Amino acid sequence: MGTPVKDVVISDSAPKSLLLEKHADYIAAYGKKKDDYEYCMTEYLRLSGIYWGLTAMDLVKQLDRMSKEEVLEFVQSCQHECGGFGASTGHDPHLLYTLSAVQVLVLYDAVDCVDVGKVIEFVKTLQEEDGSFTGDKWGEVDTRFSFCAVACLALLGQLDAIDVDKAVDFVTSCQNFDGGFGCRPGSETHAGQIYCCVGMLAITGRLHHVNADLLGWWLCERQLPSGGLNGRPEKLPDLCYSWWVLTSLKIIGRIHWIDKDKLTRFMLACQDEETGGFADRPGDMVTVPHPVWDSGAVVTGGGVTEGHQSCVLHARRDDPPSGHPTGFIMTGTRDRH
Amino acid sequence: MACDNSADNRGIRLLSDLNNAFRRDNRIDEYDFIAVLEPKNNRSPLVLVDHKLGLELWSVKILYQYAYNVLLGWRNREPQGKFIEPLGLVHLTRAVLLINPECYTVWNIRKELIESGFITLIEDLKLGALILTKYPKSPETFGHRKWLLRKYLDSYLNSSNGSNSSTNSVHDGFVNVDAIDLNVEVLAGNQQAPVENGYVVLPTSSFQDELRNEFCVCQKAADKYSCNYNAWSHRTWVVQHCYNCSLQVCLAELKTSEQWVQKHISDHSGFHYRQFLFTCLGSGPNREKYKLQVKQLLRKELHLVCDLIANYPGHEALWYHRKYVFQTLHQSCDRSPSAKADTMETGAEEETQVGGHGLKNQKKSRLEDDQQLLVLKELDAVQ
Repeated sequence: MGTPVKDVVISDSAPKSLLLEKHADYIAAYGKKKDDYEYCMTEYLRLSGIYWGLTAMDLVKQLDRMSKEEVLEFVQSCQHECGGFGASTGHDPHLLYTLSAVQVLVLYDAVDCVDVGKVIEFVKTLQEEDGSFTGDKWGEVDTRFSFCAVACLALLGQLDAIDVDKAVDFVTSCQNFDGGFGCRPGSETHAGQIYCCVGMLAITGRLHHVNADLLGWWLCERQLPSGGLNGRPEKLPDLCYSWWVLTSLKIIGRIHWIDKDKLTRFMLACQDEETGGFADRPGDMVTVPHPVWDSGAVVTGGGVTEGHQSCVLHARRDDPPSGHPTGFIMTGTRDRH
Repeated sequence: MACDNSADNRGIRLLSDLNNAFRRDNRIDEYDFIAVLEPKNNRSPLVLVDHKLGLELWSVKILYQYAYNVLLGWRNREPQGKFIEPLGLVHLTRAVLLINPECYTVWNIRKELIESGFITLIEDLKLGALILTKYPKSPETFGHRKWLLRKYLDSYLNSSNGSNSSTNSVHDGFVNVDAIDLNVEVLAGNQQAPVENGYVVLPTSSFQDELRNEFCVCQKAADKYSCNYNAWSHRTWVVQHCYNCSLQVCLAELKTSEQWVQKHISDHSGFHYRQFLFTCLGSGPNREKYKLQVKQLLRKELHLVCDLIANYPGHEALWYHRKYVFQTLHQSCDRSPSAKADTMETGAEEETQVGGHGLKNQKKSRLEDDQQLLVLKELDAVQ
């Protein structure tokens, strides 16, 4: 043997405790400068960024630091005539941002400030004959969109609006021999897509389509000696997979197959002690929107503060959406392939 | 939206420099940002050598912010947003996407420009290929390509449908590669390029070449970025949607990718692509007809992956692939017609079984032996 494993080494000086305040400050300052180059570069996913940030702030119980009115006004400004939401004002409607919008609205218990009927109509029109969902009217199909559609509708208590059986059929047709899922039938298994598909099957109550032992095995093989998780074989560990992999394992009841202590150490080491926020792996630069996203993942997913059970399909803890046992946060939205 | 006038003026100048570069050379095949952080002299920060375009880094931000703000201001119908000529939109969108190809709305503006005839499909396939040289995994670029290819196929099949009634492959959006070949000949004899919605559907480059080129685009992207999920997944999509998983294409791809995976032994995506091809060959209408050949290919694949594991120990990607190949081979023993002869007795099979149940049982047990042998060999090998 002698082939080194693709992994990182965590230095002794890496942070070992959770710097919650710093992260909260980081998120509170996110995206303040509108003429900023970084702002323009990431505006195409702004609504999702806001959702990730708000969720993280909610988890650290500092949601009141964000301006609710400003956020809601922004969300409203992103809705189009067709009912869908764009990533920002002037950006085209897409299922990815429609879910983020609904999630933000549910978080603030303010669903009524937009035209919900149109949102449902928008999601409905994106279902194809084979049960799959396109992200928008231009027709790209991906299992991420299947997740977005059912998550969106479940949060609004309108899952019946679509053909759930067909939607499930499509998602299961994307299953591979290793128990995992890809973005379309025949596509490679990927931890992010697994989250979307397993999440979708969980929401629709069809988890029996998953071979939990087989998939759990693949997922726990994502843990590397550093404790970090990668998203596919022979890739470097990346903090965002702490979210995708852990949540999937939690949903299928195999989270104890991961070494929790090692993962916690890895996640803490990803923190930037000076600026707050998280890098994708220890020693890397904090990048937008990674910190916003990952702090959500860490706080929610890592079990850093509360242990395993806080891990997954976490909802508004106190008031889950009507008629549904679980809510959901993070979504298989922007690509991390 | 724009910060100040001087930045605006510099943005205007940079955009016009960029347009000039593309005007001077319509075969730019690669571009990148040059690590020059401040303007050094009065020369343009764009360098064009040998069909390669370089942009000095300091200018990238200025160009991007200018083009992005003008474009989004227009899209958003902001009061200060001006009317922009279609050609202006073509240029602005190109500038933005070369720097940030994940701006999906900007790709959508280009889709609208294509639909109204201001850009051709080929032009945009070319722009996408160029962008992938710098951003080889850009999901939005691959997404836009799928839209372009779908449109390309549709318009091609629709236009050839009128002239050739034998084309029945339009249904379900699937394409029969043989039908395309035939139609290409028809088209070659017919000099008139079809015109639809005011634009020429098939300009200079031939339909088949363009589809074949798609594999090259994917391969280049896969070379540039290891385990390139979007590139391989796109390639899979092309096999499925542009070639209807045709036998010839699957076999050709199996051959091409064999060399590639041997040079990229830890690329899980490359191996998965081969798994996809095997799955195609082992299913659909070809399944029974080529069963033995596919099994043969799988045996060869097992040798290939065992060799690679022996030469390059410790690679997860190779072991996952081995798992697939072994499992598929194992199942193929299971799926043989005589193994399930009880449920699927055809006339031909009955003839071979004139010897009665004895022969059938014999066959069955031989297959079970096959399967067992395979398992034993595998166990032996991994020990």
